[in-house]
Amino acid sequence: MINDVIIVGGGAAAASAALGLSNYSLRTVLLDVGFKPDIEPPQLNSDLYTFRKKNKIFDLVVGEEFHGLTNLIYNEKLPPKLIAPYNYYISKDVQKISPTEEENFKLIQSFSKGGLAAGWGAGVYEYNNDELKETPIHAEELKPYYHALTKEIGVAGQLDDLDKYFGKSEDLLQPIKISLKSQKLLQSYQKKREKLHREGMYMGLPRLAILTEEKNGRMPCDYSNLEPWYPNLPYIYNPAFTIDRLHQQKKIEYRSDILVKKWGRDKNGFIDVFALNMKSGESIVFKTKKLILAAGTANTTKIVLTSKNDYLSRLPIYDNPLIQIPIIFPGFIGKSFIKREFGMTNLNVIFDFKDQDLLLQGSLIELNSPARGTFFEMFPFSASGNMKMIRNLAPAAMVLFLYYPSQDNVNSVVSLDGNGQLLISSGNYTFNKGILKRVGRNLQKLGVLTSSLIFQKPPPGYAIHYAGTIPMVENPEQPYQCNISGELNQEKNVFIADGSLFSKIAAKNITFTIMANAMRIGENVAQSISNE
Amino acid sequence: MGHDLHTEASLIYRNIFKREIPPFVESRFLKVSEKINQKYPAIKVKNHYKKIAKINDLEALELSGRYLKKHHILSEKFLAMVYIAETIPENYSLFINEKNSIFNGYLSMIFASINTFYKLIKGVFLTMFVKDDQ
Repeated sequence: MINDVIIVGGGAAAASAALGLSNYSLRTVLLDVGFKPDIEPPQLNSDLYTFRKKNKIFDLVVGEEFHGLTNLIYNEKLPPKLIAPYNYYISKDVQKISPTEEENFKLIQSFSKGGLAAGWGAGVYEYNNDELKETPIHAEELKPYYHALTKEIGVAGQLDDLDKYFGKSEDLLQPIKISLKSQKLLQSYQKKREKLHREGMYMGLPRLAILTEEKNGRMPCDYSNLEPWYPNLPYIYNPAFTIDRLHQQKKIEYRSDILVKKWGRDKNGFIDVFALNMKSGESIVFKTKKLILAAGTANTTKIVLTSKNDYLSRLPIYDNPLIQIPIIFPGFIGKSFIKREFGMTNLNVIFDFKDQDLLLQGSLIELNSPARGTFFEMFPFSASGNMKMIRNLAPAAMVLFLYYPSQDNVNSVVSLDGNGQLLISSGNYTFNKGILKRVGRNLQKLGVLTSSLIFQKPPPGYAIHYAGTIPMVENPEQPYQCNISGELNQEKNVFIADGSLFSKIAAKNITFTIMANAMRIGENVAQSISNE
Repeated sequence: MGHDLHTEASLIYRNIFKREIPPFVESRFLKVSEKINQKYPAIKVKNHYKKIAKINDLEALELSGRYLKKHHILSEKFLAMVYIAETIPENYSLFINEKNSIFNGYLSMIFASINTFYKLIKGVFLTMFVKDDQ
């Protein structure tokens, strides 16, 4: 059986490429390892805090396998959502399936159905021409795909001061109800708006792939604070939703438990896709006319290097440098905990420092969903002092995830060793202290407490926005470059459709742009088959 | 070793929460405690148990170890205990404040600062008398 198209992967890029192909009558197969939640979580029928007042939450937060304590027991640095017992499938067996050796770079991968977007922060931001200037595509070309995806996934937000940075989408759902602290901050910003604009600071509501109204049978956000703990919450978009829909409509065939290793060519010029059946352990070969690699930057790069038997090349890899900035609202110290508030990004902030030619984006995150024990680790007091802080100070805290554009001077590189293991190493990111002080001062003007002394700098890779290994260029000359259609140079009919194609990441989540571009590539591939 | 683990669990819980450890928390903590021990060389684990056998104020010991970067095992076990203890409804009010009191909030910050200073000095002083085996 010769397929028209095989898509490799099960995350945001793969689902979007499949969406681009779905309007054409083609035989499309999507190959994915596709881990799913091992067990269904219990139905709480209430918010997290009402439930935990009367019931144990050990299975939800820690689990009998102690997945929730992974970072502590195994010295890992994984985001809380990826180690929550019922979400553990997202990062399950990654080192077993795709061992990596990392030096000063934290590579986070997933072989789950939905990929890393099964546990993402759901921020969706359009890229403008300036942010795409190092790729051969223009924002106008992506516009119809941003539009189609906005309708497919459901994006909450509103037009405000951030339009010029996030795009003027017309199909936004009602914005999420932001927390009381966020409301106070936004009011304070609006009072000092003109002055802050002169300083280059802009604030507004986030664009989130989160439903605030029912859509295609998916229920809207219920403010239950279950986001870190529950898998596949219907109101947070998960690429698995699109894959399931397309599979049910017979637009694609979804095959799980398949790990793609590499591709080759048969004597007729068709592409052989060599894979491993994860259940039976048997090798398996799929034949196709066109191959779209959308397995995520790291895994796609591994498949490409393996297929070319290249154990020497060192390819660049990019990520957003990230600073975590705790802020305290003095008026909320000692106040009672508010149980039903939105526990993810409540506000976005842009710092547009034109004198430095630097644009930073921050996501202000409410902290009512994580386990309170998380704060025990953060506070610098004695154990009993930390417990008092958990009760009195934690409800007054939020954290700003401040993203920088990718830096190309840190020499982050990825290669493959003779054992098929990915090697990733990186230098250190550099952060201008003067810039950080300006960020801190602008935040303080809004009446919150913070100091650059307590800013946290996670290692390179921790933002989990990977890109740039096999960039898309106007006229590819090198073997690890793609043309504007995503076709790999010197490899006819092999396309790439994920973050690997972008040689620069702006200071905001690139996932939505990867999705739009993957959909564009999928559609182009479908059209080229139709033309043939 | 088994006896040490039970005593350790009870002591850590009492030092943090000033009450007896519930059986549910203890049984889970014992498993985690063993996993944490396995991360460290045997001599470090031995020194850890030697210290907690001789020093009653584990809160002071943990704090000084944390600041002097000398006693990671105890800090990790304190943290594990907090994570596990949080999961039972009996401890809900220890973690969640349901009453508005800005005065108490600021007072608790002052207490935490003074207590931290006192416990740090005490912890450093106490550890001077318990030498690690090499």
